[in-house]
Amino acid sequence: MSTLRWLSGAALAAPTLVQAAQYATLDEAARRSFPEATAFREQLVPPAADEHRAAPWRMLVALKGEQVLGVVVADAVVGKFELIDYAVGIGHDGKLRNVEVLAYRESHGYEIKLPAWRAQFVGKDAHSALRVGEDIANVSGATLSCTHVTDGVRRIVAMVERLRTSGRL
Amino acid sequence: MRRAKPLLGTLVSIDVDGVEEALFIEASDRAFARIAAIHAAMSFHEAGSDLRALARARAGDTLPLHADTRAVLQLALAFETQSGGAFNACCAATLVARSLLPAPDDASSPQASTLAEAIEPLPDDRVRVLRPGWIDLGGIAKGYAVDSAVDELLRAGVHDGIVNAGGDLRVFGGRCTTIHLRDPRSPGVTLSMAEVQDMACATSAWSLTAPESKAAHVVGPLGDNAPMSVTVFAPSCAAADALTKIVWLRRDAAADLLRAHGAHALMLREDGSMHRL
Repeated sequence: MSTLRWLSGAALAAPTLVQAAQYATLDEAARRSFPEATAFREQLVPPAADEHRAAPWRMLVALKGEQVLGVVVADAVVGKFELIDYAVGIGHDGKLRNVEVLAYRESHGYEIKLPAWRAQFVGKDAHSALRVGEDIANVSGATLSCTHVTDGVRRIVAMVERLRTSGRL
Repeated sequence: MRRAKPLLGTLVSIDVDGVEEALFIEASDRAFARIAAIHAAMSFHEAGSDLRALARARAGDTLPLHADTRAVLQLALAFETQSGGAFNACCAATLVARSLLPAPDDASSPQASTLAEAIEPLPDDRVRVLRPGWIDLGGIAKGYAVDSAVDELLRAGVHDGIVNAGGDLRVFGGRCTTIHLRDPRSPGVTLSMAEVQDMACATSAWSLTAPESKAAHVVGPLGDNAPMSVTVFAPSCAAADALTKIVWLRRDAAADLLRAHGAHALMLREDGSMHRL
């Protein structure tokens, strides 16, 4: 039975900062990509000369006994307001197996320091009510773009392909 | 338990209660796969999609389509009729002209201006092309994908949860959930709107941080005193998604159609005032 109860005007004036959502750990993402794996070995891969990247890639190599099943690569992308951690599982055949979002964080910290931003809540008893949210599961609103993740997945697939073809995997 | 994937150009999350992890993974795998298949069939970007096949077709052609595409086209036709043309899926040419969609290099030149002019659904998941048309289902397909994901979860034995596709969401099962609205005046803040059970919700908004998006996503005359954000609650997410566009264009005149779908709307204006329908 579908039911809806509008909340009062006061509740509408009590804002919450959208902050973060934790979805999975890298280990969970690895097991979901390679459920048949018996072990995972961590490996750091330095970026290639043409990759504009300072940090090495962190990856888990999925093993079944001695056999390499594939890799799971962790990465993070930064959008306008958001930071998304995600993991990409790629089989030893080079095929994409799984993309899992690990965590989502929003940063609007600069915004609440602006007097103009704070002024909109004056008189609504909102400063005391400004809560920090932990969840975006029940938030409706303008669509978040995941373009950066899609671009990141493409970069990782290309990087793993280079490793495969050069025999480093 | 929760899980998220980048799908439909946004972040799609599934949150459930009361199931073992193995069942959750299996059920969510199916739900995510269904969403990916719906996206592939109904993307105007992908040359292999049903919508691009329709854009290439000539008058009189009969095309076999995915069952999901056929179902969404049928829904879009119904909303077009019920809204007196305010809901118009035959709008891809306008969106291409606004650079919101890429121009397809393989399409017939668009002639139909409404979906009813463009296609006639036939039995067995086929449609007949009446006049070539460029169809975009962006105004309803995301909601349909959320409903389909919920169907997959229920079928797999998950009876309680939330599926959220970047703000178009559906709460199912026994849980009572407070739904928050991202404030379009300040995207870091959310406002509590309503408590719901077994209900879907979709929002269509432009943001102060991106004023160029003000009317970009709505095809039709906005008129004066337009809202910044329109949220619709409805039993299905496809209906909520489609009805947001109708409320944008028809506002108070959409009240009867909202009631007919068991739906309710909330409009938020730039000055912070709220109006419920």
